[in-house]
Amino acid sequence: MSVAEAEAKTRAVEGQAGLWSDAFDRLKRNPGAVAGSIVVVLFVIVAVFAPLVAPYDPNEQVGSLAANPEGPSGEHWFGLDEQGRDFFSRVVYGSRLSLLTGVVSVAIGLLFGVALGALAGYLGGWVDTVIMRFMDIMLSIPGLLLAIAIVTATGRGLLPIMLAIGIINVPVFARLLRGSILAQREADYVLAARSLGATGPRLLGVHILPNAIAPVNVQATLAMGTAIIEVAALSFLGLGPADPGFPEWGKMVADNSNRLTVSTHLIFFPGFAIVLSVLGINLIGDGLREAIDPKLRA
Amino acid sequence: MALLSVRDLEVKFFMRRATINAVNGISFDLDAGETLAIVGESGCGKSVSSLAILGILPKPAGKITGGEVRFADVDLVGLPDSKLREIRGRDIAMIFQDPMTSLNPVLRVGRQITETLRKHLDMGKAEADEEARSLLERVGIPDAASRLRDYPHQFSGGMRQRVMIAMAIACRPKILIADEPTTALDVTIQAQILDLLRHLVEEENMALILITHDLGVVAGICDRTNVMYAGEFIETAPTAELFARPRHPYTLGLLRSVPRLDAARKEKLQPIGGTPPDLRSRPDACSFAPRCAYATQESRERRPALHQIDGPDHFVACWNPVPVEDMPIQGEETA
Amino acid sequence: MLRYVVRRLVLLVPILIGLSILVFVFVRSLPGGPAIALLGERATQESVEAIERELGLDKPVHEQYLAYAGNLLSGDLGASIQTRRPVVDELKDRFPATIELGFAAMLFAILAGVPLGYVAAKRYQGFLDQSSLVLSLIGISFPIFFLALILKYVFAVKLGWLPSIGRLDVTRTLEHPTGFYTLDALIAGDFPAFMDAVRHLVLPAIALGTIPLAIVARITRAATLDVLSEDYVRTARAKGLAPSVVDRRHVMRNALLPVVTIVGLQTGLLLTGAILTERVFAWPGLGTMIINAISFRDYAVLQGGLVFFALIIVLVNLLVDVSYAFLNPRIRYR
Repeated sequence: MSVAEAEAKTRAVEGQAGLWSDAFDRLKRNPGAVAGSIVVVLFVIVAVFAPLVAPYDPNEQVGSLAANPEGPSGEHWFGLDEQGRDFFSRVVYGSRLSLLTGVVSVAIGLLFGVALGALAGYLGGWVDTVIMRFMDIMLSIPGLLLAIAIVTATGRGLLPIMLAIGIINVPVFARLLRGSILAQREADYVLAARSLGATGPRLLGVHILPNAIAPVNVQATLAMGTAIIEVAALSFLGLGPADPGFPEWGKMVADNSNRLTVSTHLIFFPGFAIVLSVLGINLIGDGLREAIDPKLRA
Repeated sequence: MALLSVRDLEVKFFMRRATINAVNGISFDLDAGETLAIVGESGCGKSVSSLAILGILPKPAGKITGGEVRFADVDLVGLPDSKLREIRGRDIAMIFQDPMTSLNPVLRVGRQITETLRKHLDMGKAEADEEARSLLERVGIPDAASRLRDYPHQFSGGMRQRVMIAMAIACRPKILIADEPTTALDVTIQAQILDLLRHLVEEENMALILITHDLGVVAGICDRTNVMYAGEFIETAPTAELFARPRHPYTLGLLRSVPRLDAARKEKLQPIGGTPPDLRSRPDACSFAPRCAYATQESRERRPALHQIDGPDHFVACWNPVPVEDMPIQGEETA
Repeated sequence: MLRYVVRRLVLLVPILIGLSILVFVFVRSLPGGPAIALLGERATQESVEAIERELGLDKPVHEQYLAYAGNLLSGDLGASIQTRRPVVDELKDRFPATIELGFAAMLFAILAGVPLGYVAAKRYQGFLDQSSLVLSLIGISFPIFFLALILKYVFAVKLGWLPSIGRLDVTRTLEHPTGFYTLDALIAGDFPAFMDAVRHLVLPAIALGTIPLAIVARITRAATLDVLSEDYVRTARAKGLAPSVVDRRHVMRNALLPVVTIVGLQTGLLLTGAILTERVFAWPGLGTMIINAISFRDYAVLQGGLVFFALIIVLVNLLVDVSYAFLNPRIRYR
């Protein structure tokens, strides 16, 4: 028996666990994915322990009000903002909102997207046609535009934003999962399971979904990065969370964009916080895609 | 002097983690109009040899690491690519295995034929179009004039292979290399394509190198047959002789695994056990030994070289050739 | 080919109907309902009732929808509460600015992205390949508005190489028969004005085009890698064709097919990106119009912008599908 055959046998025996641990092994060897994970873990730590990390209350005035607030110094790492607040503390607290909206909105998108995609892919027929036609229509409207419409209609606030970003992800997940299920449905192992008497929800839940979900996982990771950018974009357009005291990276950039020439630090620090966190997530997503789909590797 | 003379050709693939010894010193001569077969299992290096002769090994991994390929007394190995390109497609042309994937899907069939004509024979557009039409007619494609404007996906598999053949013979090459030309086709079509090849080769007095894993294909066409295993020729003989008196155990195994209709043999089909060797290492031993019923102690300790056996044209690389009584049929084999 | 186009056009109908239903629902779910949406929040009770009668809001929902769809079809999108002008006129005034910007951005993305992806594939796993992958990942991690601000800061504020806002120098006068300033300048034969318009386009186009650039480069790379290992490329080499001919005629022709699709899919991204880019560079296009509409609660304008954007995307996708079929004979003849 050749090495390849032996490997194939082991994999078949280990089944699902083998596939994922295999993917994880490959992920660990991908320097980009490792770097991305470190960045993301750092951001998560900062967000969770924000009160410990931030030297000041993000809304407390610690310096003087100034049209040209002071820049970074040993005392205030990221300088002060125009209301005399410690900007480092504000950026630290900003991570909470960005990560929260990223996770929650993708979770909302996943919930509905997976349900609709599984229904369409598994039931087929007119259910499939109706669901997918509707998803196509949603996809023909650009995500941010749809989010703008939703937030305008429902009013500003944290929940509407997460809902809006979640909803624009629904058709993406639904389409991916449906395509993946259609591919798996005809796979030999599913036919085998069917011939052994597996039917209905069990067939879908135990045999098809775990195998069909891989591309959705990758997309969900990448969508989290996009969600952070989209929340920031909504804030930038003045559709952010209604509470003005709430530190949010996109809003910080927006509020200070007219001070570009005088207080660059007020734009660059929150801006790069967005870039860095999104880049970290994208690195993981990219590594995940390569790890799950070995075809992509040399 | 032979038209094509290959001496000790060696090809290696330099991969990231390993080096693969794909072709390990093969030699053969090909005269004008001669037909030659190279037979072996997939992965034995037969296709790689033909790509090496044409100088189109996959870049950057594949490299010719030794030997020479003399065509019209010029060594093609080490010739700059610009010179090689004048020979490729014009003097030596190739037909590939899978006609489904070997034609460019977005170019009209006519264009794919005329581009060779215009490149090598300096034909104008109209002249090349007319020539392409007559080429399609020659390979037996009905309604040739209008089919020139069709795309590959509008042809059936057999018709596509005919197009490939028309492309290959466009410049009246001196040597045609056909790499598994019928493997991807239906059995009924296979015979038609082989017939076509045989006729064209005869009419044009082209030399043919037929590469196949199927000894059945070789029988009616080739003057001489080389059996290849693990990048080496392990037996070479006139085709009739090889069929009647295979001396290498591997050749015998190949013959026994070919189904025959003439029922001259009462034995069952016998597959060859085991798998081809790992080409990453090359121990000093007969590479077939692990799968061989005739292997001796010597087979496992020294690599056998081709040596003459039986007739003047029959060579085998084996320490313990198949004894005459084990041979499939005695005498009157019609090859 | 013609039959294919006709079939695609027919398929458009359900999508357009679906879109109009979505927008209908959107307008009806706005705070205060469509009357307020059309008249503004300070509308008097009488005028609200008048407009509700006029809009037929007392009628059953399906009749309401039909009336609404009829208005859409006849191009009646209501009037802006800010300017009192018909929304259609606002759209007419502003869309050339956005289209010009989007076109320039896409041009930048294609002209830079295709060669980059192609070279990366040819140098597979080499230094250039690896660094282009990393760069493109960084590219798609940038929020457009932040990238726009950085570009503006570096090239307009610090270095002073390029203008930072607007489409043309304020001191310059130019007739606007088309609304596309570069085109207008050429029509007028005013070369300095043309260069000025181009200089104004550079930074916004780069800001808007960077993400599409990264995506185009990645797709080109992947597609080229796929094609390079195809049998027909080997066939082409076996014919003795020069490498440049093999690359152009056999590799690129096939590798560009998925790129065409991806370029079409970028339209949505370009339009929403334009909203953000226009704000940073004070570009007087549809994006700026939409932002104004949001902050002034000018819902009629917002609805108009929404419908118009969706329409552009649907049409561009149709165009892309048709040109894809034109490039790919396997689809054309089905």
